[in-house]
This record gives sequence, structure tokens and C-alpha cells, in this order.
Amino acid sequence: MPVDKSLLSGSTTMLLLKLLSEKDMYGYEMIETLKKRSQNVFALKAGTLYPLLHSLEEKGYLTVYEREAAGKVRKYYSITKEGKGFLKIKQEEWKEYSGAVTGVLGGVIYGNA
Amino acid sequence: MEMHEYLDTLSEQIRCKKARPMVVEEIENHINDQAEAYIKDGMEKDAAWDKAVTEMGDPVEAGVALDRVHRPRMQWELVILIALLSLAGLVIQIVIFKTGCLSNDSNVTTVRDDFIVNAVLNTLIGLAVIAVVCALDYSFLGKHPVAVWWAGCICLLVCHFVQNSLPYSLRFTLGYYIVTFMTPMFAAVVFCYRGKGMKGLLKCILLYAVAILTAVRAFLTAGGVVELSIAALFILTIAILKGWFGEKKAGRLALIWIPAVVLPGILTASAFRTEGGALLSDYQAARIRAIVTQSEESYYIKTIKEEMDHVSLLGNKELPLESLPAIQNDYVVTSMLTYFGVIFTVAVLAIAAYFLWKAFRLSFKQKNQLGSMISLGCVCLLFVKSMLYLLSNIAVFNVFAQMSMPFLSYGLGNAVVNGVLVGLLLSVYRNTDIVSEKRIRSRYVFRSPIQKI
Repeated sequence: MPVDKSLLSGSTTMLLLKLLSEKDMYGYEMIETLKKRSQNVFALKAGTLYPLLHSLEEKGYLTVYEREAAGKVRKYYSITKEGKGFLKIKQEEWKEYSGAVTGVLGGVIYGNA
Repeated sequence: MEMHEYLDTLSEQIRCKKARPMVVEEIENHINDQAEAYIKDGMEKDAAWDKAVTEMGDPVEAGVALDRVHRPRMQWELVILIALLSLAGLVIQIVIFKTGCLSNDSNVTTVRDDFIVNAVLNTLIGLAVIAVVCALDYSFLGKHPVAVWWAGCICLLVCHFVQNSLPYSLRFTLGYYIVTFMTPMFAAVVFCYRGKGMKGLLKCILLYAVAILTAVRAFLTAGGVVELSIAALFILTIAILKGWFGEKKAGRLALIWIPAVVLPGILTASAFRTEGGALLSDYQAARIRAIVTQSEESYYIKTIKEEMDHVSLLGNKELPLESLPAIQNDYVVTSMLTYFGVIFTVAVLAIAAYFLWKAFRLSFKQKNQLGSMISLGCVCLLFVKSMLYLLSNIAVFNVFAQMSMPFLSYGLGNAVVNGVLVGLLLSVYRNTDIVSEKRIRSRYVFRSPIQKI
């Protein structure tokens, strides 16, 4: 399994899939949730988010449906079985990678990635 | 930058115009949400909108990335398989015409070089039809499916009344062609009644019944009726399993499967009663008896079985010309077996099977629900046609006359009908990620919690 060359886009994909594995969300909600949970470290631009979401949908990792919430029709994304499998692989990769970085830096691994 | 400027610049980067509205709508909602959040936090209206747009990032970069996802995508693997199958069909037809076939006006077998030109032309026309239908946006089928369905039924009736004034080549086949086109139409009808519960399902069944009764009473096409029925049963089963007609799936399935098993049973039983009964004409009763007992067709079965005894791996370079009629239409696979042998034939059939399998998987995974249903219907129909043809060609079950093998059989009608079905498949796959639609997934309303984490 080749490790994703682009660390940033690879890990963004992982983070988005992780969020969606907890509940279905629409785009804006994802950016907000990501910001809150990362204490403002991951400020994802919408211009990056939507192309990524659409390509994940194209690959079959996500499905889309529309739902009315608070008087607005929103496009919700939902993770598929394939998406969950892909997330698992990405998480394994991340653990290996962060473990390696920590090893080189000479620190200790805190918790799980 | 103003919001509309941002959206215009972004949308201009997406080359496929059909894909633009659904992308823009989502981004526009996002900017609205962001601006409202800023206003809620106490920001001035104008400043909030400005900041919301700036937060989006570069519209060109986002647009280019979205363009990469939303563009027509040709399924080249299927195109190659189509080319291979058409070529195999052409080869066997040329062999038949070079060796000889029965001419229309006599029982003498003659070499028909002139038919070779027709065979090449038919194949080219078939490929052209595929290309044209593939270039169309299939979603127009979902606009007025019920009206088109009624129009199809009326065409069947008209076809019945004008049957005798039709040119000979169309007299027995036009009704069959119309019924063939009704399979993708039925998929569109079912799509249009989705989310309407039991009532929707009953309407679909009613519309199906009207078409079938018209075709049966007009004595048009036994093969077509069976093919459409199997495809319709398949389409409805998938729709019910997808939850299109409500959550009580078992009951809905029983509603369509019990009649699907019982009705043919009743027809068969009444065919074996001495008078045939009120349900069937004498001819239809005799036909059903023949199919069930395989008695009437036993001559062909016997003949093909004899041919099968001599089939070798590499072929005998012989054709069953004297014993079987119209082999270029009705017995292409038998001819392939006797002439080219088992290895060649199995290879061609394997390509056809792979084509259907690949098409089935693509249809099943298709995100656009109308497209998915139409392509599933077309795949099912092509499968049923091929299976019935194949079974009759290897002497397992001889049921219907006037059959054609998709891609392989000679005939302009077959090429055009097959072209439309295959073209529709390609059109659906090509427009993945482009054609938008409102999906109904009520179960999510209850499943996902509204509150934020």
C-alpha cells in the first residue's frame, strides 16, 4: 500500500472521513466541526473542501442526499462501506507515519493518532 | 469580490455546463451559511459577505479542481468490448453469407455476397446509433415517463391494426421493437413513482399490465412480452429493495412476486385444458403447451443436438445450412460452434458475459437514481435476450421464433434496437457526476442527530 505523497491532502481526506463516520454532515458543518475539534488548527478552505468531497463521492467513499434543515435544503454527505474501509487504511498509514516522525524526533508517542 | 463574481469565475472553470448548477448551488449555500454566521457574531452585513467570500479561497483553483471531477467520462473499456463483439458478429455473418444461406424466394442455399455489404452497413449503423444515443442526455426520459408509456401502448395498438400493410421485414418485428424500448421506459416510470408508497407501486403495476395486455391481445410478440415482464419484475424488485415504495419491503415484494409466479402457472394450466378457456386463444394455448412440453420445437432441438455432437474445439468449418432456417438471424451461436469451434465461441460469449457483468456493476454503483434504474433495466433486458437466445442455440430450450442475439445476429432492426439499449447504458455512465437530482432518503431524517458535537 503506497503512502499518500501529499501529506496534507491525504490527512484532510482522513479527517473528513473520520468526521463523516460519526454522523452525516453538510459542507459548512464539516469546516466548523473540524475547526472546533482541532482548536482552530485545521481551518479548511471551502475551495479545498468541495472538490475533495466531490472526488470522494466520485470514488464511492461518500454518498450525497438532500435534506431540509431549518428551512434550508442542504446537501448532506454520508460515508459508505468503502469509505469506512479507506478510512481504516488511512488511519493505519497515519499511525505508522506519525510513529516514525516521533521516533526520529526522539519523543514519545502520546495516545493514538 | 462579490459573491456572484466568485460563483461566476468558479463556474466558468467547469467545462461541462450541465454540471455547473448543482455545484454552484452547494457553494452558494455555503457562502450564505458563512455570512449568516458572521452576522450573528455581530459583523456588519457587507463586511460579513466580503469576509465569507474571501474565506472561500481562490475561485479559479477550486473551479479547476471541480472541473476535474465533473466531466463526461467515457467508459472506454465497454467501448472496446462493444467493438470486439460487433467484430465477432460481423465475422460470423460474413462466413455465413460466403458459405451460403437460404434465400427468401426459394429453398435453395446460395452464396449471398450482396448481403455482406448489408452486414457491414448494419454493424456501422448499429455503432452510429450507439454513438448518437450515448451523446444524448438520457435524463429527458425521466421528464414525462407516464405519457411516453401510454404513447408506447398506443403505438402497440396501432402496430396491431396496420400490421398487414407493413413491409414484410417489419410485419413481425415492429411490435417486438416497441416492446423492447418499453423496458428503459418502465425504469423511468418506476423512478417517477418513487417515494409514493404503495399507491406508487400499484400505479407501476397497472401501467405494466396495460402494456402487456395490449401486446398479448394484439398477438404481437410473445418473446417481447416475456422479456419485458422479466425486466419489469427485476426493476420493481430493485426499486422495492431500495425502499422507493416504503419500508414494508417484504409485503411489497410478495405483491409482485406472487402474481409473477402464479399468473404464468394459471396460463399454463388453462393452456392444458381441452378448450384453452377464455384466457387464451387456441394459438396461444398451443404455443404454451409446446413451450412447456418442448414437443412442437423438437425438430430444431433434435437437429441442433445432432450438430452439437460434431462440434470440436477448433471447429469444423461447416455450417448447419441445410437443417436450420435463417441461421444468420436465429442460429448465430450454433453456427459459430460448428464453424469456429468451442474455443472461439466460448471466447466470444465470455466477452459478452464480461460486458454484461461490467455494465451491471456500473449500473448498480451509479449515483443518479434515474440513470441507475434505466441502465439496470437495459442490462437485464440484454441479459435475458442473450440467455434465451443462447439456450435455444445450444438445444436446451427452444421457445421463441424471431429472436436476435445482441451484437451477433444479422439484421438492421436488431442493430438499431441493440444500439439504443447499449447507447443508453453508455450515456448513463458518461454522465455520472454531471446529472444532478434531488434524492429522497427519508431514513436519514430519523437517523442522524441534529445537534452538533
